[in-house]
Amino acid sequence: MFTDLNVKDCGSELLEKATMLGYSALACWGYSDGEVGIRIVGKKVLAPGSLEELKQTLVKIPTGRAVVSVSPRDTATARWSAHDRRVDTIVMTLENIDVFDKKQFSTMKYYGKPLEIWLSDLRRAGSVQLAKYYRRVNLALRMKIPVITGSGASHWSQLPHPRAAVYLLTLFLDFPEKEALLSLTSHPYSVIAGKVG
Amino acid sequence: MVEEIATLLATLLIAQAALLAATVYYLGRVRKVLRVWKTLVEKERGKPVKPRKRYVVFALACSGNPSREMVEKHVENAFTAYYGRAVLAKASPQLVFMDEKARRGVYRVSHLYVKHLISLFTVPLEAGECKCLIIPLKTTGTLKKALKIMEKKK
Repeated sequence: MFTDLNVKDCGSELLEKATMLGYSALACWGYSDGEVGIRIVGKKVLAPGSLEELKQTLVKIPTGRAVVSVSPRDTATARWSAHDRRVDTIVMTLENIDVFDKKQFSTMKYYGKPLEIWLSDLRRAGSVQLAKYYRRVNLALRMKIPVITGSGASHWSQLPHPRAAVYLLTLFLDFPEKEALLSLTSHPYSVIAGKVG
Repeated sequence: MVEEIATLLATLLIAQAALLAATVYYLGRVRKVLRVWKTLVEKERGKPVKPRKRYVVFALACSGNPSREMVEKHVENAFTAYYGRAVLAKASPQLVFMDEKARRGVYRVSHLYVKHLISLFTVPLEAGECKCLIIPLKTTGTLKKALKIMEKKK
């Protein structure tokens, strides 16, 4: 039951390839309805500049229809997103690494909010950013916060094979193999399960 | 009376057979554990592990015509970028066979670095107009078996 929680454009070709690779559910930024034998839900990634902007945007999003992820740029937004029930996941990108500290992870753990990371970030990270990224992900894993891995694919060629993704996570970010598998299966699926696609 | 004795004997025989099967099974398990333990002890003592060859069968899903050189160059570049030249040298991945028409191939790599190679299949192969997705199909211990799998999955 492999799930990709971050696909940018779900065209028919991408859906065909995703089925071939063994994915059973996808969260897409943009998609068209149709019978494809794979569960698709919408995805909204919010990158608000301030807490007020986040609150205003969240009001406009209908609940229970799309996966709402927040990529916070400051500490106040990050803390708020951790306890807001309308937010499904909190995204850590190369741009907002510094927001994620021990206190942020404690809040996320308390409210059961998963951390989302994107494989596309790993590809474009420099060595210093990668070191920071590694330390944060490692801290999240040690604090037993569910980590979700999304591909960030905008073209079908960027969709990773699940086994290859598990190996990449274990070798590159020192995920325990079981945790790497969970980050592609049950953790993202539990987010999608409550949504009406 | 005779029937009861026969039943008793049959039960005894079945119990003995089950005991024998369990003993054989557990002896096999113990042997396996001992073998793993021996390898670990040797590793601990600093004895170098003999690298064995593994053959990774893969398929390409492309929007263009991929060439052998393209795949080789992509994997080498990705290996260096992700794990460095030292690991590349130790792993020594080699594209031993590639069917450009069927878009399938076999990579040879040291058994210690199979996961490293497969993990690099997450990096999309992009060269100009040609965009490819590399799909790992199976890992085998012999080239013969790898080629057989490649033919079978066509």
